[in-house]
Amino acid sequence: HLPIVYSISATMVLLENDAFLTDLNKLFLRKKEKGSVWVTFKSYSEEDKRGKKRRVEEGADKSVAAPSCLLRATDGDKIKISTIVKSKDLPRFQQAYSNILLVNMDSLKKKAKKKKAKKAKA
Amino acid sequence: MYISNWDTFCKRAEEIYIAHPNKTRYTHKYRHVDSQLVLKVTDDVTTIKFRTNQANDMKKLLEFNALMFKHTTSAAPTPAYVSSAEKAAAAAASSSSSSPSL
Repeated sequence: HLPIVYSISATMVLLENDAFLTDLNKLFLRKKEKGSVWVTFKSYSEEDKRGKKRRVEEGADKSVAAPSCLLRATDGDKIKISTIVKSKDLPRFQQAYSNILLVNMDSLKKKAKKKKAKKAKA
Repeated sequence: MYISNWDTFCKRAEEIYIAHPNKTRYTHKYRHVDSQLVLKVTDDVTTIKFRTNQANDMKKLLEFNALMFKHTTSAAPTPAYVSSAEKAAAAAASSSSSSPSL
């Protein structure tokens, strides 16, 4: 009984931070038996959307806004989700994100130190 | 393409990012079935990867994520990675300077 993922659509779905985290968790659960989970980080700045610098009006604020972090997650097949994390949301998001990884990435091998010690004694 | 030394990977990744912050992307891929974790950093010209199957390396992953979160949300990224050797040296230096003189 696979957990319901909000966004299986073969097109990229842009989500709010919390919805992205929920769906990312579900993506990991879905891919336990088979497959991979990719997460990509990229820097994203709104002003470069058109690839051209917009004409700055006189007196307008010329300072460059800090970029945000664009995150994408996919299963390599149909599920594609993304979200944009602004620096003010970063601490809370990073905490939640790290927790999701810690909970789900648990098939990595633990070091078998005790076994080696026993073998050496015998 | 695969770098086996973690500190080397991190320093190189940071270099690539700071050189091309708009083009560089960082990806991690996890396969539960194979117990494989791969980190990849590329600017579409240079690509470096780090792979592992060790649970201990989760800490590395989280630290690297923190580094990447920080860089992707700062307007003028500057090198921030401190290798474990540098951390140990700093710790040794601060502990020796704070020890009471006899």
